[in-house]
Amino acid sequence: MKNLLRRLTTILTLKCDEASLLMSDSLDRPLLWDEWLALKGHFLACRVCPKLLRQLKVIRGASHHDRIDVSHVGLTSDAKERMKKALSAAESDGQ
Amino acid sequence: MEQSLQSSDPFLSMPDSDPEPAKEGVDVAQWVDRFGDSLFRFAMAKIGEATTAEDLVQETFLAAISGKQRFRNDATVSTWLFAILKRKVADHYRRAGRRTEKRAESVESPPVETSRDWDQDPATIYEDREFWETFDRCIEKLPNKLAEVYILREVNQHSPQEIREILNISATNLSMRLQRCRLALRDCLQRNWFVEDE
Repeated sequence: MKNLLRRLTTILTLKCDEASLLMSDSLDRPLLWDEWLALKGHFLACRVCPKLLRQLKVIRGASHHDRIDVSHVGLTSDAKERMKKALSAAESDGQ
Repeated sequence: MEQSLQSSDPFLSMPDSDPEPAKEGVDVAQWVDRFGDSLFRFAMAKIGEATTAEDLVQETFLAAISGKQRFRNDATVSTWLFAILKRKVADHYRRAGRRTEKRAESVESPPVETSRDWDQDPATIYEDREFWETFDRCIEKLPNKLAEVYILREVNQHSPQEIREILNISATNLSMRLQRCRLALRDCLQRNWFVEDE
């Protein structure tokens, strides 16, 4: 019962800083039902926070946006061998 | 107890404040096979030029040699290597920025008329080269603790659970760091790239 009351209080009294934390969390996990309701309710009364959510999504999109498609690139075997030789040489010099 | 990078310098900051005795015979050549491709992909995504990306990855491995004994598992090695590579990429951009400024003194480019509004189609925003320059500068400005979670979450795309295990921090701590990181990026982009709202 206490837990339910706490959740209802959250839904009715969510502030912008708490809303921004929930918006950030929503990029990392599904929100709980009361968190989701609280955020949607807050959006009805706040002009700033819906904009912040759009901004966070733009940043998330930019963070995951490859300027070139790198999914299939990797070091060539020649490059790996060069690096291993350079590392061995550097280690020998350091000892 | 939170364990995280405490120094602003990733060469000095270790993710474990109480390391186990050093293991004998850490084979750094194995790092090339284990982490070379993912480091290279990160560098390519940031730089877009294979030769430079390879050079930065090699410099990263060479810089990492001195601290090799302090790492106990792949997760901490990976975190450390990415922290070093991030600095290498940032240094590259700083050098490139200086070159760009010098060129700009002698070559006057016509101003580009662009709409810079958060509400425009993100695909349009991502086509703007200047957006990426600003975005990269904003990431470089992040404090180390925030840059660390940014790289783990958004670049390496580790799950929150994996990041908590890597950094040994609570879910609440991670949640707050990610929030601060995202708000810092938003504020930086707002100041330096997007047009302020009326």
